[in-house]
Amino acid sequence: MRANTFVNAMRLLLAALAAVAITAHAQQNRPLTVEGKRALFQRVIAVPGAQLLDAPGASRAFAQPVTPFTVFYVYDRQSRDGRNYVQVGIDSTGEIDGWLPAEQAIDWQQTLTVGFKDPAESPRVLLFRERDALREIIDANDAARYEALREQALAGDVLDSPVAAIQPEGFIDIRRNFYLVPILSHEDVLIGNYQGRLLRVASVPLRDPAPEDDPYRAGIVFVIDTTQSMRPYIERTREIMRDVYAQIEDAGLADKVAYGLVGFRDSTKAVPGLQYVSRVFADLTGSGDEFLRQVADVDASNVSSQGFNEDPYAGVVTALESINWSNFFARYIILITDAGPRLADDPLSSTGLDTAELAARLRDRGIALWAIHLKTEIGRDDHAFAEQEYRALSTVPDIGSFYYPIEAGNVDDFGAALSAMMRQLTAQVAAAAQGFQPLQGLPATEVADDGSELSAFQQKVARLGYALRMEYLQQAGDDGRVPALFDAWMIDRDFSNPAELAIDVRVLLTRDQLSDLHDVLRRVVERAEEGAIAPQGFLDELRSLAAIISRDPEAVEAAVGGGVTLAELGYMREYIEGLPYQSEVMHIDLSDWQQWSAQQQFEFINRLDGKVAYYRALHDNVDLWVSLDGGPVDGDSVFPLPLEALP
Amino acid sequence: MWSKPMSRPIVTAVVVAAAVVLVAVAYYVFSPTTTVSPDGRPVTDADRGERARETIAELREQSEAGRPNLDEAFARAEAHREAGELADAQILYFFAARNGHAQAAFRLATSYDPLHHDPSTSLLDKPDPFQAFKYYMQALEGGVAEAQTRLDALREWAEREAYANAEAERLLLQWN
Repeated sequence: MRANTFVNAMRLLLAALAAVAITAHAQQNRPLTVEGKRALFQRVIAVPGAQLLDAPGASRAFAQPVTPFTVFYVYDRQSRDGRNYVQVGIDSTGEIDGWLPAEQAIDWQQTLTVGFKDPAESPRVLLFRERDALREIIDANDAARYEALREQALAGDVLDSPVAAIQPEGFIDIRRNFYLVPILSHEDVLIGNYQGRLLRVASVPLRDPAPEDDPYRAGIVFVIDTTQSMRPYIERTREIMRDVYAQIEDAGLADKVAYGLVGFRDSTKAVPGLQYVSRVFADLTGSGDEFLRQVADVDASNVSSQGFNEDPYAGVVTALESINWSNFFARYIILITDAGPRLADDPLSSTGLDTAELAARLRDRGIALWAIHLKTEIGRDDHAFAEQEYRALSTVPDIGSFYYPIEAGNVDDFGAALSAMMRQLTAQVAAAAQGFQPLQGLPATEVADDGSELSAFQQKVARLGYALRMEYLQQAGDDGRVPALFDAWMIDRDFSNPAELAIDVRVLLTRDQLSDLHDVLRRVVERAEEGAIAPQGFLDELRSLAAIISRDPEAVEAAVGGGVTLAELGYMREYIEGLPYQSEVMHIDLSDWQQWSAQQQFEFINRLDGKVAYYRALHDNVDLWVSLDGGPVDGDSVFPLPLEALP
Repeated sequence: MWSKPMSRPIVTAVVVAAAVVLVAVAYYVFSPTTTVSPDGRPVTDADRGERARETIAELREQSEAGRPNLDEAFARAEAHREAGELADAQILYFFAARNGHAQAAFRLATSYDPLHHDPSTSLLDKPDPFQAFKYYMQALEGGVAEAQTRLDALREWAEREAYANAEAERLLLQWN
C-alpha cells in the first residue's frame, strides 16, 4: 500500500517536473512581443532577395533563399560585427528557421495590408515617391491635380511626376489569391471632407531590378599543403584554376568572384628548412591574371617535415586573419592536404587550436570550409584521425560535413573533384548574379503569351512571392537600377469619389488570434444578452468577466468607477489599439446600460453577435486561410480581415 | 409670550407652495421614468420594455425545475406585439427563443429578415440578415417547417446581394 502511494507520488512528481520542463521550453521559444503588448508577437516581412543564415554573421554560402514577403515571427535580435540580425520562425510554436540580416526584414508590427479593389469598379490607385508631394495634393484638396497625374501615369508619361507606381491594371481578389502590400505607417487625413488615411506601403516593382554587385561577390581561398608530397596536386590545382578563370571570364563574372591562396607546411622550429609554417601567396584583391601569376610561385618543399601530421590549421588561421573578407557575401576556404592536423595539445602546433575552436572561428566569420583529404598510401595510419578532424572542421550545423576524401590520393580523381567543386561554386556565383530568384509567381515577362484570357490576366498582374507587383513608372536611378523594393505613399479614398473607400485596409490575423477574438466576444455577448433581459447585474458581470480573461488587470482596475467601455475594460484592446480604425462598439459607454432602450441594447448585442458568428464561420472555413509555411492550415495560418470586421 | 399670528396671505402662499412641492414629488414618484439615451433620445419605461422584464422576473420565480413557462412568455409577447408595444414584445420573444421556444425564434427571425422586415412590427429600424439566419435555424431545429422556405429565400437574397453588400457576403459563409 505504502509502496503504491510512493509510486503514485513519484509519478505525480515526474508529471509535474515534465510539465515545468515543457512550460520552460515553450517559454524559451516564445516569439518576442511588441513593446507594451503581452499577446501580440513581433512580425517581420522578408524583402525580395532575403536569405536565411544559420547564425548571425554566418556564411552566406549556405544561406537559404526566402520567398519574397514571407511573414516571420521574431524570436531574437542580435548584433554581430556592427550588423543587426533578426532570428525568425515561420510560426509561433518556437521552431526557428534562421537569421535574417535586419536590412532584409521589414518590421511589421500591426500587420496591416492593402486590399485593392477591382479597377473596373474603382479607379487605379497612385503610389507616390514622397509623402510631401501627396500631402500637398491632399491639403489643397486638389482633385484635378491627382486626376492629371493619373492620366499621365496611365499614358506612361512619367516626366517630372511624383508618382512612383500605379496599381496593376488587372484584379486579384485578396480573399482568394492572397497577396501582401504591407502598410508600414498611417496617418489620418481629410480627402474631400471625408476621413481618410495616408498610408506608407512597401512595394515591389513589376520590373526586375538589376542585380546588385557587392552582396553577391564570392571569395574563395585555397589553403594548400605545400610540403614535399603535394607537388602533383599543386600543379593540378594551378591547371584547374586556369580553366576556372577562363570560364568565369567567358561568363562575364570576373568581378563577382575572387580567389586567394595560402600555403602551409609544418613547424619551422622542428624543421627550419621548411621556410614557413604558412604564407599568403594571393589574397582576394588581385585580378585573375594576378592570381595565376602569384600562384605560379607556389612550390612544394624539398625538405621533409617531421612525422606525418602537419599544420593545416596554421594555414586556415592565416587565411582567416590575413585576408580581408569584408567585401564578400559568400566566403569559402578550400583546404587541400594529405596529412592530419596538429591539434592544441601537439607541441608543434603553431595555433594551439583544437578543431572545434577553429570551426567556431570560421562560423563567426561566416566562412564555409571544404576539406579535400588526399588519402595517400604513405599516410595510411593517419587517415582515420585526419578524417574525423576534417569532417568536424567542415561541418555546417543542420546541413552536414563538406569533407571530400580522395582515395589513394589519385591525382586524376583529385582533379575531377576540384573541377566539380569549382563548377558548383561558379554556378552559385552565376545564379546570385542573376539577382533574386522569384520563388512563387512569375514576373510578367516570363508568362507565356498564348493569347488566352488567363495569360492576358497574368501579363497584367504579376506577383513575386506574396508581393503584388506595382507598375513602376520611374526611370532607373543614377546607378542604373530599379529598386527591388520601394516605399510609397497612397491614400485610401479617391478624389473622384471620396465617399467610397478606394482600397480596403486589412489586418492580417492568425487563426489563433481570430479564435481568441471569437471566444472573448462570445462571452461578452452572452452577458449582454442576459443584460437585455435583466439589466441590473450587467455591468458587474462585464467587470468580473474582464478580470477573468484580461491580460491587463491594471486596466480593468483603473476602469472601475470611471466610464465603462469594452476598450477601457481591456477587452480585445491589443487587437484594436493604434489601428487606423474607430471601433463601432468598443468605445460605447455602457455605464448607464440600465437606462438604454431595448432597441439600443439589441442593436449593440446584434452587432457583436454578428461578428462572433462571422469569426466562427471564417475560422471553420479552412479554404479561406493561407498557410504561410505551405503546410496544412493551423493556428498560425492567416487571413486578411477588413478593419471594419474587427469588434 | 406668543408671537403675532401670520397674516392670511402668507399662510395661503405657504399652503400653495407646499401643495406644489407635494404634487411635484408625487409626479416624480408615480409618473413613468424618462431618461436620456446615449444618443440623446428620451427613453421611457415602455422603450426599456420594463413590463416584459417584470414578466420575465415573475416567470423565472414561478419556474419549475429551473424551466420558466415559455409558452406564457410567447403569448405575452404576441399580446404586446398586437398592442404595438414592440420593446416588450422583443424582449419576451428573445427570452423565449433563447430558452428554446421555436415559434418565438421564428417571430424574431421574421422581424430581422430583409425580405420580411416591417418597421411597424419590428423593434429594430433595419433588418439584420445574420440574426434572421440564426433564428430561422433555431426555429427549423425546433420543428417550424416554414423556416426552411425562409432560409432558402434568405440564401438566394444573400447570393444576389453578396457582390455589393458585405453583410450578405459574410452571411453566405454560414452555409459553407
